Amino acid sequence: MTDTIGAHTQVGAVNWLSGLRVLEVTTGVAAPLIGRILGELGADVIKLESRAKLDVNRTRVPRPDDPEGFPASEAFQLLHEANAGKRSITLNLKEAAGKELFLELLRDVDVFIENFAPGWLERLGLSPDAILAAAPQLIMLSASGYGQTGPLRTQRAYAPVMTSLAGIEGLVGYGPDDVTGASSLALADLNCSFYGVFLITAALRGRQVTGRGQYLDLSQTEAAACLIGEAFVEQQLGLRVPAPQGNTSTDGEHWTLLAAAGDDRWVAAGTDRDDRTASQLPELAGQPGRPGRPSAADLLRVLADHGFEAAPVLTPDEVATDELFQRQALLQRVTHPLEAIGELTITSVPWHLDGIVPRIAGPAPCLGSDTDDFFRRRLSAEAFTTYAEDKVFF
Amino acid sequence: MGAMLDGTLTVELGGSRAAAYAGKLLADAGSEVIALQDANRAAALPVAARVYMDSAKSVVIWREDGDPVLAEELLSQADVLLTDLDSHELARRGLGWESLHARFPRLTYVHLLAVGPVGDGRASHPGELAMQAISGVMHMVGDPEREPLALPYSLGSIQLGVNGAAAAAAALHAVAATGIGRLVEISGAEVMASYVRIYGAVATYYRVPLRRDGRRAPGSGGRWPFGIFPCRDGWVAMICRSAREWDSMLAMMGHPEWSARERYRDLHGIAIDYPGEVDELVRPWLMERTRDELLELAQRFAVPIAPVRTVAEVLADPQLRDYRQFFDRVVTASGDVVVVPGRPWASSPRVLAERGSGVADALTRARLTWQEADSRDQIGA
Repeated sequence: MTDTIGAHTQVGAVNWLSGLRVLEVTTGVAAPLIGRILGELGADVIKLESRAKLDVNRTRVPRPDDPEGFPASEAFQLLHEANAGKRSITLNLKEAAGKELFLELLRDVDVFIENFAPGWLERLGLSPDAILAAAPQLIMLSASGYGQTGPLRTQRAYAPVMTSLAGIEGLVGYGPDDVTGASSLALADLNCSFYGVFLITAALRGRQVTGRGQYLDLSQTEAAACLIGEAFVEQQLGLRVPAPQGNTSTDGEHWTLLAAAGDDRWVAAGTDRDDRTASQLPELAGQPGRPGRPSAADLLRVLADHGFEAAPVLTPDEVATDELFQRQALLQRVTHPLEAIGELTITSVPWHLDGIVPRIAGPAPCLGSDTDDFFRRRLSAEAFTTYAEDKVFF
Repeated sequence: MGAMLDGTLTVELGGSRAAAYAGKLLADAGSEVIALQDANRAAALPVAARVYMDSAKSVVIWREDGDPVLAEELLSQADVLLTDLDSHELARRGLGWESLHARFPRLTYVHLLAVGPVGDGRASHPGELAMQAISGVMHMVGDPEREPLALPYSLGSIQLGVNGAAAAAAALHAVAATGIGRLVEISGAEVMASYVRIYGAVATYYRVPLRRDGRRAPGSGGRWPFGIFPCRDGWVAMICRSAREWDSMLAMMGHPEWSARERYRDLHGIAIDYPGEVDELVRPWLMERTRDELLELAQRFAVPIAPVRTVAEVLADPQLRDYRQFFDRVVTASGDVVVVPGRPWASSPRVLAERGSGVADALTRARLTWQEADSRDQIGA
């Protein structure tokens, strides 16, 4: 799997999903990021929000040094990572008129994504079956922690909670008796995002054949369990009892972490063709921790000369400035319309499609910033005014 | 489940878990997937990986001298070529994107790679290790006083596969509209780096050093708690993201005396400046309770807490096993029956049979003929 891609990476518009309309009622990251990716593939994505129940990324703990009046509900970086380039409209679904407009929108779009706690649509009288009956063209995805059924369906769900229930966190540690976990990676969320894109685009492909939409009930916990399917086979065939193995690969190869010069600098190395570990190399005897540690570059040179798979362990900050990732356009900069927020750096969808990295069209929309324009195009002036006065666009 | 990729044909020409997992997902969504298994693939994918990832595919024993047949008989009818082989090897074998696109303009080409541009000494022989190291993932996992820690079960390659399948499905939608095959190139290092950067946004926003912090996310992810905590019979994950959840958690604990002190009412402080103090305050309460007791309390009080399960416990979880009927069964080539994670989108459970060397069967099912099939030796079955 050695190769060069993106040596001449261009950032540009991708039109693979152009003409498709996506409506989402989402919060957090896992489901909103699905919509963002679909948008960067060319779809028109509308985030339907309500001031009665804000996206969790609009309600974060404020920073103590934020100046008076700082627009914190628009500024949190994760809000932009998950919602860049969308439009935002507000609608109060608890109002009969709001619900009616919502149903009209569902009839008018190709994809609907939601990830609020299971049962909220039913409480509005809008079960998935009812929605599909009214909008048979619709691809509808519910992304929830545990699925729409079963006793855990309403249990509060965040990524580390789901990867714990799925068996992943219990496999990350320095040895069989240690559970360290990898909770900060929020793997269950991002895995869900790409599973969601997969399911929606596959269902859209199916709709091209059948002409009909469908409902997809995606469980983040189940999607996380799928990632370690191999462990389930090992357990049952008696090949291994899955447990933390430290820095040993799935295939039993011991990975050596060699300390390099500098603060918390490391080089990771596999084994050579003779199954020797890097610490068995005479040039590296005594690593890690010996005084006068060599630089990462020197370590890599020695390891490459001896045929080891080896790589520097980059820090997340280094990833942001690394030439490799800059060449691949991993990060893009956009300017927020609110001066207090200013320039934002947002992570690209890490795909090169026909040689192009999808362009990020802009930051996450301000709450309800497109409500007027969107509904004035659909409603008479009189109806719009009435709904506005009745706080239907709340 | 309605139609998804039914009627499409995918050819998987791979040598790692990345292409194998992408192929599995496409098969799960209805694509006919033919995996070409040469000696390198057989060596790279242990039995457990093949049982899990290949059981919904047709696996064809392959040798490079069959490549002309691959192009003429399979790729001419395929919708997707899924590969994670070195592009120099692909070019040498006449299987590079440009040459295949010229011959088969409807074919979508999905190329999955460990790392992007190399040659600057950053990595040698890149694979799973390089994906985890270069992406920053490894630096984020583990104890701050110890060496970084790898993710298990080739999760970098598996995520590369998930991304590959998603991009392939999007491409199939685009091809149906335009008739033109698409090129997808994805590197695992880039995928994992994007994951690190997306959630690194929390630390960036709160100006917290983005560095591994043991069982806790850096700066508690902006609000305490966020991490793995010990309890009476193991570990639980706990995380609160909203004021309501934090209030519920305090209610669940019976509003402990410390929670009324000003120092612990400072939500920014307890998350970022002194989270260890709060860990110690909560530890005794957790240590009095088992994982199941904590899950029951969590459900009652609507607090995001869950047990850290073992694989055996996941298999026995009633939510997954009974209510969701999540698991598939695979009958292995040797007749064993294993229960594996199924499709995570509320589909009917399946019973699959591991199909070892189905050359003729696979080609027939693909409505193809291949006169040489009988002469092929089985490799590494």
